[in-house]
Amino acid sequence: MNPWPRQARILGICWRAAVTGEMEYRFNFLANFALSMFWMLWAAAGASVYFRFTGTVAGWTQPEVLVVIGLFFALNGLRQALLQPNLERMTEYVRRGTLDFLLTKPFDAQLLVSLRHLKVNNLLDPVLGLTLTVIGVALSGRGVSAAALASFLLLLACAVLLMYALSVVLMSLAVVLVAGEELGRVSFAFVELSRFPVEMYRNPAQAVLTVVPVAFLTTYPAAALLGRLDAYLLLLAPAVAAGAVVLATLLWRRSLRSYAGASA
Amino acid sequence: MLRARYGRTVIEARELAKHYRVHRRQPGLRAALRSFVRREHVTVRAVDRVSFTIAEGEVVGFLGPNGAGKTTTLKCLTGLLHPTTGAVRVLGHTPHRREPEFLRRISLVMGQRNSLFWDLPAADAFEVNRAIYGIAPGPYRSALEELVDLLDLEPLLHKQVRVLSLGERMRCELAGALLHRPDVLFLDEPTLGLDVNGQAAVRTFLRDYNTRHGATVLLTSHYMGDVTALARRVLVIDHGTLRFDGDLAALVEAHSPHRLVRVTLRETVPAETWAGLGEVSSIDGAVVTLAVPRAETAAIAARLLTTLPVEDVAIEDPPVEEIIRNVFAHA
Repeated sequence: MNPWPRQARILGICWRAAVTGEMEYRFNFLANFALSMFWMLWAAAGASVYFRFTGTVAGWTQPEVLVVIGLFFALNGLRQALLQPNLERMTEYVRRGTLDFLLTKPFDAQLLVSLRHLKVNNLLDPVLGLTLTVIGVALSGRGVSAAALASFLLLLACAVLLMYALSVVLMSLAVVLVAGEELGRVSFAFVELSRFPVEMYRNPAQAVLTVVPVAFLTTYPAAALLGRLDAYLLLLAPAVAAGAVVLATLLWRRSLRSYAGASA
Repeated sequence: MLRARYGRTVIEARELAKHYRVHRRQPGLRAALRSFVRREHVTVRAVDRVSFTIAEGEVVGFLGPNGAGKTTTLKCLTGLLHPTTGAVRVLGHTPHRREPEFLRRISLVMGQRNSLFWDLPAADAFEVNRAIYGIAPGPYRSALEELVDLLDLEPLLHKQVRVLSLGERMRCELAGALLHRPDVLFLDEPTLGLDVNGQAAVRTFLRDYNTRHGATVLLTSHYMGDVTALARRVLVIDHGTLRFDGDLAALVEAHSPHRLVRVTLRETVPAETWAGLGEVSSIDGAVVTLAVPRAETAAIAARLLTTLPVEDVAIEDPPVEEIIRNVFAHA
């Protein structure tokens, strides 16, 4: 038998089709590239306004802020490529009864429903974003130790899991509420808040964003890369991410129990 | 009696009930505002204490008007809905637990709904199902070959599902649903929206499939043709309760005390001729259709032949649609 786990094989088939489909539209790809470049440079230029009169804002230098902005673009691109297209279709699954079919198959529907669609063009954003992050680190003049790189990767993985968990929570709401077209905006708003380090916000906003937990998306991974992370976060972040995924999965199962299906 | 022809019980519903709580409001803005603040809920008894069993290999037609509770029952049997009260067993499993061993042995096909992924070519969509059901390469190849052959899918395999016509898509849906060779097949309006050829193709295929693999089939349909072509036994449901369970022939006999005698005449006869022979249900030129009591059919036909200038006589049962209407009218 094929050595790949079933889930990976199924997602593989779906993603391959998405890649083949979008490769036919070269112009879209180029237009998206240009647009992403523009928005990223715009954000970087916008941030430079703060630094015209001061060297640091809330303890962050300009290159360090670029690291955060880069991470924001990377995560937001991943959200647009992988989470948003699936979230958008959730209401349709419920209304058209597609969910009925997914649930009568011997398979955990959560993964398939939450990840099967892929917008290939948006996968360029994570590449561009991470490039900006690397530039920011270089400009900051700090060396990156192997330990800092490892903690960064760990915290970045936690950030991705957090975004995924939020997406599953929103999908569960779509099952219960049936009307869910606007739910995508919630996930957008969540990631959008991570555009700047949370320390730049005043309290109580800063405290809220730490708990909510926007700080885990970009601020802490950036801090890890720059070697200024509080060590306890290396334990807290995986716990928060795992807790969020477990909670989201429980909520998803709960929502299916109340699912009444699309009528005939 | 009917069950004696078949094997062991595979589907069992005992006092199955499914009630929904829905909120109700009067039309108008004021009522809308009031209902926004305080919801008024009513309980809808979609299925109300329904009991039946279906044996291995049986093809059973599930009849009833829209909203009768057919789809709700089907959803309870496939595990999509939790019954409010009562018990359901399918293949020895409790469906709503959705155990993989159970789901691997059933399939649900709904007309005008898609289970196959739209954006994939049919062949890839089948591959997804292969992975989902974990079908080994050998059985997969032989099942696919058989289905491609029976449903004439060869020209469709490499087209995206969304560009197929409704009839083509339904054939692909059936193939996708049967690749894992389910023991129990639930079909909800499988020919909905199909043209006459499409309907015939689906019926022929389902009959063949049942004969070849002995699969148990529970089928709902608005098209009586589906039911008469496929099912010997019917369950009639209305307002959530079971009105009839038995042979289609018995249903016809029980609810249609009349048969239709169609007489073709060589020349027209006065209208009063028919008095005492039966109730005239239609006159179309020289063709007159009489509804006559079932027991007297032969005698009346003989009298017609001897007393009138008859060219041809045909005797038939009223259309099943009409009989079903009768069942509901008397319920």
